[in-house]
Amino acid sequence: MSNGFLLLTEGMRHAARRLASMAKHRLRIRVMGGRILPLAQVATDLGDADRDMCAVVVAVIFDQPQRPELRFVIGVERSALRPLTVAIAGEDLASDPRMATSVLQELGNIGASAMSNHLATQLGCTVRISAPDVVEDRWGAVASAVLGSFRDPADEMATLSTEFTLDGRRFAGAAILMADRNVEFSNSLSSSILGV
Amino acid sequence: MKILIVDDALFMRAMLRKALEPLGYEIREAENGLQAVAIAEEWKPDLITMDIVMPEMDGLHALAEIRRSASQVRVVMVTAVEQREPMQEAMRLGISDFIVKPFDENRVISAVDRALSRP
Repeated sequence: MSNGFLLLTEGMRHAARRLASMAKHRLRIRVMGGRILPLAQVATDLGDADRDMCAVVVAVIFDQPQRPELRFVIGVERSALRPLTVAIAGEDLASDPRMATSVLQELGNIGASAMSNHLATQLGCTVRISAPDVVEDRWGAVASAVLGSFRDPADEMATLSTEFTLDGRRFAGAAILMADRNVEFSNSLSSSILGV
Repeated sequence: MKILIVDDALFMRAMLRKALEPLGYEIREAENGLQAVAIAEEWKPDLITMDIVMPEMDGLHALAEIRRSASQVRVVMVTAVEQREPMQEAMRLGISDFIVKPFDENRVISAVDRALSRP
């Protein structure tokens, strides 16, 4: 596994620790590791491309001359959204039907921020993030939509397998990182971003 | 005392309202920087809690706009961003405190209390 990819995995671990600290219930988020895959294999690697997911998408933008961009996508299966909302927002706020989407949006914001803060420290550059977008669809459709938002996507993307355990119940989750062609996952991530 | 809560996430606005409203503060909310600038101009809050990453207008641009009208309103940044450049920019714009999400409710209450009690 490349150093660059280890950097992303470690960034995701930072994100997971931050997210778990928000919960009022026992929430554990494990990042088991990740893979760099050709685009065509991603939907298959996510296990079930037809599974209904709620995902949040955040653009991670590097303030470098070529403006390399990553999209950070974190998703949980739809059935996990209600218990996750109760765990993080509490029963009283979770009764508002708009709250689940907002909690997911904030999970994406805090997760992407933790990852971008880690990347900024390690790479020595400024990393900005966009406001998060929530997408509810099948995994395959989510991945396709994010891919379509790039003018010139890279040929590969990175998937990070995660596992959410909430009060002893396990839920499927995943994080994917897609990039434009300026970012190389499999070689040197830092040199492709910094252009050195 | 009047507090304007600015965050694009309903969840974060609700958490901040839940922490501050029982202490007797009058609360209004804005979900982006543009709304924040308009409400700050019209309502004249004593303090603003301001997120950075938001659609329409981010928190740093909103704060710069609010300062342009010579407003001396106290501002506590409440954000997940903790990189040096945005923090320095926020300091330059005269914020009172900087709280990193996810936040502890007591940390928010004490930051607001300290900011409002300064002369």
